[in-house]
Amino acid sequence: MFRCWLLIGVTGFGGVLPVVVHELVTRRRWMTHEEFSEVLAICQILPGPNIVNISVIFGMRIAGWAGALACLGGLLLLPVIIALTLAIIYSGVADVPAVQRATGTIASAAAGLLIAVALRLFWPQRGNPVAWGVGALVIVLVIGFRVPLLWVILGCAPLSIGLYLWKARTHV
Amino acid sequence: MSDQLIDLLGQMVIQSLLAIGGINVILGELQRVLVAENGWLTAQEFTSLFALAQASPGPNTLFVTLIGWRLFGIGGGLAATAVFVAPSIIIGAIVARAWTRWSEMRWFVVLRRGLVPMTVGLVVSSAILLTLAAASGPISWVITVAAATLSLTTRLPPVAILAIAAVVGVAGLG
Repeated sequence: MFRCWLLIGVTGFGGVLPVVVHELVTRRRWMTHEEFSEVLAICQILPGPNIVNISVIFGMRIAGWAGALACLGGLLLLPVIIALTLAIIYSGVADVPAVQRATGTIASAAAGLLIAVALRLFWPQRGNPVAWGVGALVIVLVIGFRVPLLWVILGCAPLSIGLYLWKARTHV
Repeated sequence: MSDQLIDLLGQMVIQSLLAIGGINVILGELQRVLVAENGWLTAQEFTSLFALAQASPGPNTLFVTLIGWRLFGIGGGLAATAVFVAPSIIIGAIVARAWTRWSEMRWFVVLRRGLVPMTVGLVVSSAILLTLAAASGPISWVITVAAATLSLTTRLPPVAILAIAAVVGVAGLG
């Protein structure tokens, strides 16, 4: 199990989720697709990085605390070492103009990738006026007024859920 | 431990608890706290570290490792990672015991679907803030738009798109 998550950690570039599905469900059959969707759904409403939550819950269900630590350790060990190595190499060559230009363009591309993620999340909600309204409100608060996230969540989560319930009620 | 390190680790626990829906949700908040409010990192450093985390294999959580490393060396990177994932371990352990019961409950479905509009807003905000932070001229805008388009319309893995961007930068176009 540790080895499996080790593999997941190293092979997942810029988003580990597809690799997790491939390894746990398709290749090793440790979980069915339905089980995995349920775990994922729960992890999406839990605080913390989703993938960390998934590895802990998965490990816990199979082998208790030892399992949880094995999965999480496997997931993080090599990537942390690799990222720190890259960072140290980078800090050694950060003054080289070509490296500076590359960092700039990679940062621009990384922002573009995040825009793509945002659009993919938004697309299924495009016909939902609540998503437009709450989404716009969140953006104005976060960017326009730089409101701390805690207040944004405390204010907008009840609003988001309340409007969802109200909309569900008026549609049945 | 210096006060700043304690501040940073405390922030990481808070950020971890706020990251409902993943680390993309809190990028905007991280930038607000680390760059705008405390001035621990410049906007440029923040985006370079994010770029570096994206270019490394593994979960996006690595961004937190790199922030800790930049401010306090390797020990800081490991400590930041540990406190960032610690709340998840505890919460995951609790949920693992109760999860089959939860997934069938109505309030759970309501919570999951009801939170989507807020999550969308937060991720879009993060995307806007990062785009603005990375923007240093017309070419950086072109790269951002091109990367988003490639990601949406092709099956290229993210790392390939980042690699193309790196080549463009080294070639001196950026």
